[in-house]
Amino acid sequence: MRLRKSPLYGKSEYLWYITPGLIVMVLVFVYSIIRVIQLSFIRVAKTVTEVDTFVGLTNYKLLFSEQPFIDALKHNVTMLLIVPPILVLLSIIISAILYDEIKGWKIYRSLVFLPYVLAIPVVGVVFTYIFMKYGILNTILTSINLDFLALDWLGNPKIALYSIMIVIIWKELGFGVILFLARLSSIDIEIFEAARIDGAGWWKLLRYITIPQLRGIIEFYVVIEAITMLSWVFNYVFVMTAWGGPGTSTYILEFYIWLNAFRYNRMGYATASAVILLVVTSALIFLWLRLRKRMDYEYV
Amino acid sequence: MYKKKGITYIIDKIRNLLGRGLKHFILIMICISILFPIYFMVITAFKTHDHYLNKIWSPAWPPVFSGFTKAFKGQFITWITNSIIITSGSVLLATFLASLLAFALAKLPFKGKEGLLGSIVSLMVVPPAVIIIPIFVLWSKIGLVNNRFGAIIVYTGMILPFSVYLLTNFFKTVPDEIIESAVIDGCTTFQIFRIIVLRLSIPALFTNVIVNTIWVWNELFIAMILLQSNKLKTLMVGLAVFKTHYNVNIPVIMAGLLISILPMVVLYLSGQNVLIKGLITGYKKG
Amino acid sequence: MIMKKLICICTTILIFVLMSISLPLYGSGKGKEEGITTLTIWWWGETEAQGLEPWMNETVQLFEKENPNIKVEAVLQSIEQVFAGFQAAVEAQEVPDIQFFFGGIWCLEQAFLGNVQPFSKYFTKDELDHLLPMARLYTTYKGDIYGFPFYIVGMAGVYNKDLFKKAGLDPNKPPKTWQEWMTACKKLRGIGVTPYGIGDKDQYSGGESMSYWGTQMYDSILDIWKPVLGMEKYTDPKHMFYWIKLEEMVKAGVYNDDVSSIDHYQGHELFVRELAATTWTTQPELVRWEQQMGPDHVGVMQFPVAGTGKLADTVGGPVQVLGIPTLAKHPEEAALFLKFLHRKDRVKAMYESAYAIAPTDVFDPAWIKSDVDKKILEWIRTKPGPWYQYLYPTQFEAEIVSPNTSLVFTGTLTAQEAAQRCQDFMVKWRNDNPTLVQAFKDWMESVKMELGQ
Repeated sequence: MRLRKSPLYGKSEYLWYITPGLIVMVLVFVYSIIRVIQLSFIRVAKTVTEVDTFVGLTNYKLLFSEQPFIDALKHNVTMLLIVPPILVLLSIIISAILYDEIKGWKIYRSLVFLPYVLAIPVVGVVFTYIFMKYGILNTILTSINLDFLALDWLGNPKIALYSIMIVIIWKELGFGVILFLARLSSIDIEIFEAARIDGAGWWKLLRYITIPQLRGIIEFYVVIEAITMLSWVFNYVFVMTAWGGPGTSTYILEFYIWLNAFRYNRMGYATASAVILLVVTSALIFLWLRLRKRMDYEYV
Repeated sequence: MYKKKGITYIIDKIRNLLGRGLKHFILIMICISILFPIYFMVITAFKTHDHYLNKIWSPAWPPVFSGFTKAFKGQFITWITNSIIITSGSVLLATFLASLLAFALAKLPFKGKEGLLGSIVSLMVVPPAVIIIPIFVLWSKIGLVNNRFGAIIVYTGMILPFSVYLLTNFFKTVPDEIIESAVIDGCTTFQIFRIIVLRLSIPALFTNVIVNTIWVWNELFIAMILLQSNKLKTLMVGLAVFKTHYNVNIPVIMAGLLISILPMVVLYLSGQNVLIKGLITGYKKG
Repeated sequence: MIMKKLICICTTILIFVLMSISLPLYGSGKGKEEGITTLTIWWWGETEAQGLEPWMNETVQLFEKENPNIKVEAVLQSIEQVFAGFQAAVEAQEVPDIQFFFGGIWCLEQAFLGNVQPFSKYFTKDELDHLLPMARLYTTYKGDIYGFPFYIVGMAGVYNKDLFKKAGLDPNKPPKTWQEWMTACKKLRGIGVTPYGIGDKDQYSGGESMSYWGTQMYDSILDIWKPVLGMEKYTDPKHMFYWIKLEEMVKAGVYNDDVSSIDHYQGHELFVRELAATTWTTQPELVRWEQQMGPDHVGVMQFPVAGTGKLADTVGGPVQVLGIPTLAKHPEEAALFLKFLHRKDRVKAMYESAYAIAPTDVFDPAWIKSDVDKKILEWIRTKPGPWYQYLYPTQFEAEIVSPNTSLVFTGTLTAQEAAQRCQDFMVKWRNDNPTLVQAFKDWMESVKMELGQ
């Protein structure tokens, strides 16, 4: 850091600036995380006559013997492995097309980003009605003879989760497109020109120039979306399937935590799964930072 | 020689046309899939229930407004007001606190700066589900449940990490020369802060406000748990009550949904360029 | 550039102004007035008995007029939040004065946990005697009554007489035995109509279905608690009966094939749209359809009898209740309001507005004009049976009965597997909830004594 070169060197008023914000964040985050970890080792009293008791790892042991929890974890991981790659693929294609600035590209760009600003509760409800077995989507599909595609989107436990993934992709796509477009527009246009002169077609251009240039931002986007798949999908499930149904086929970790904390009143399970969620997300970030460091070495 | 050029020229032209055609085709396909749910929501909102049951995909003409009147007869006004209060309160507070923090992280020298920035940014991964349990219990003990302040503090906390990240990135791009000349002119740190933040960073602040407004306005989970009293429900939470009330009358539900997203859509369409530019600068580090 | 800056600054100022205007609104939004008690009521019911909300509003107005020092805030909740909201309120120690509960165990469990106080302690013996006995069974514990009976939800089925005629079935004699029922379903399928219209996406059908035929192999209400307390197993044939019959009906195509993709009330709508020949639900809804579609086109039927227990040919008449939480700030005023609900004119108005019957002897049977209601009340009077889902632990329903029913609907779970899950769950539940286990034991004992067994 250019500490010595900084024009404000020597001033120690930074405390005034960082304290207010830090207080709020410590309260909301640090206190919560510590307390959650604490609670996960305790059996909370359920009635006025019981007392909180320390139980060590019991909550965790019980948790891993609960099939719904395992299902929730499995579902998060499934989404993690499927959604980000699809998002990246679609974002690359669309941003590459938009970058060529064909007629009306600004309108397309606005439209693509629109879903991102719509509220998930609203989007979820609309899709719930679209996905009904005899709803509008299937009605249209059958009328154009694509009967085999007219599935029971949210009613079939085997595909309910995938239907939700479709909605997530629908909504998150715009973000990737904008990100990639931004990065593309900051690339030196001469690189493209040079490649074109050398006779590279659109496809070759994409493979050998565009994608490598986007590498950094792709990585960033994948990480953001991976974290989203773990920690920010509660609203989709809650609005579209009310109880994670059918059965437990759309359970996810956040939903499991909410269910146990606010419906079943089983604090032990709720806090233990919250800790697991934190551990998994942190592990992901850690892995990413490690990978980054290694790749930086490779680059040099 | 000329003949060859002629053929390759035509082939190229066709390739170009096909290429452009394909590109348009892909984009149009994408746009149809994006617009389809929105189209469905809009046309259903202006129908009667009978029309919806019989002709599901065609719009009704003339449009019917009964859904909207039913929505406003209910508590939509209360819910919208609550959302406005909660959103503006937390977004403004967070933007203010974040600019203080970002200024310090970007321009003021102190030990552990990088580490602090790193930890704050990593807080972005913590979901509401994790923090809400202890916060709810603590808030109940000190009486901040069903209290607007309580909700605003939590929301402020949730959006601070992102705001700090965005603003720090932006402030870092302010050239040191400006600060140097200000120091020479004898400005206090706070005056420098005011210059950087209020005069030079309006786009970044604006972006921050818009992104966070959209997030808080659309948020359901925290509002559902912290603001349960009828008078305090926000719009998203109220929608669930509204849906129960008109449980099979889908057009009325759609009308309610349409009303809820309108503010954000308007905000987006009017602030589009700034928003996009700001997001780009914010994430440029990648 | 200047224009943009100007707009930005103006918007920011506008937001600041808005914020400062709303400053006095910050805080809990509660108003305090001297000398006036505010009674808070959290309730539900408009969805299953349409017309209850206007009646409640009118009742509140009248009550406030007669009691000028009491203000009433009646808050209608959504079905997902009505119970979860109460749990959160108990946690936050800020409870309403009157809380709605689905009948029976939903209220009684809270009593077991100490969260609800017996309203009976604010009533005189005379006043209590007016309450119909059927209401007491579900919410009496150790001599105290915890749930004030709000309205009866006799559960039965409606059938479309025209569709029956078309399928070659007697429109005046609905199927009574299982055999008749399955034959009827086949004939209805033959004319392209769904026999039983139902929606289970929101998973509210499990408990209800279990209550229609789950007790048909039992001989007494005590059989419900035997597997709960570990005296018998859910995998025993008579306890597996519900799952077996459910699986049988699903396989035979009794239900519509989009059960899992439509909500509970959308399922009922299938009957109204004449896409389904029958559907089962609460009395107020059935009566409303009778009105809508005409008594010549709509008939009421009891759930077909398939079992061989003494309880096989019974009809359940559960009751939704209102309870006074232990931490309620104004329990006496709350009790006053509850008594007001059973004033003759209010009871009459409730029936006229929502077809909801208040479980009190103040209710005059002469007010009933509907065939449906007459028949259902007759059944409840002559062959009453326990309503299964209001007698077992609430978590059993939330965690096992509801989700696994939806899995059986989609054909991904067999009856055997479902019964096994019930058994496994109950073992864990007993381990986790010793206080509740003891309470259930006591409850079972007291009912046993009352029945003289």
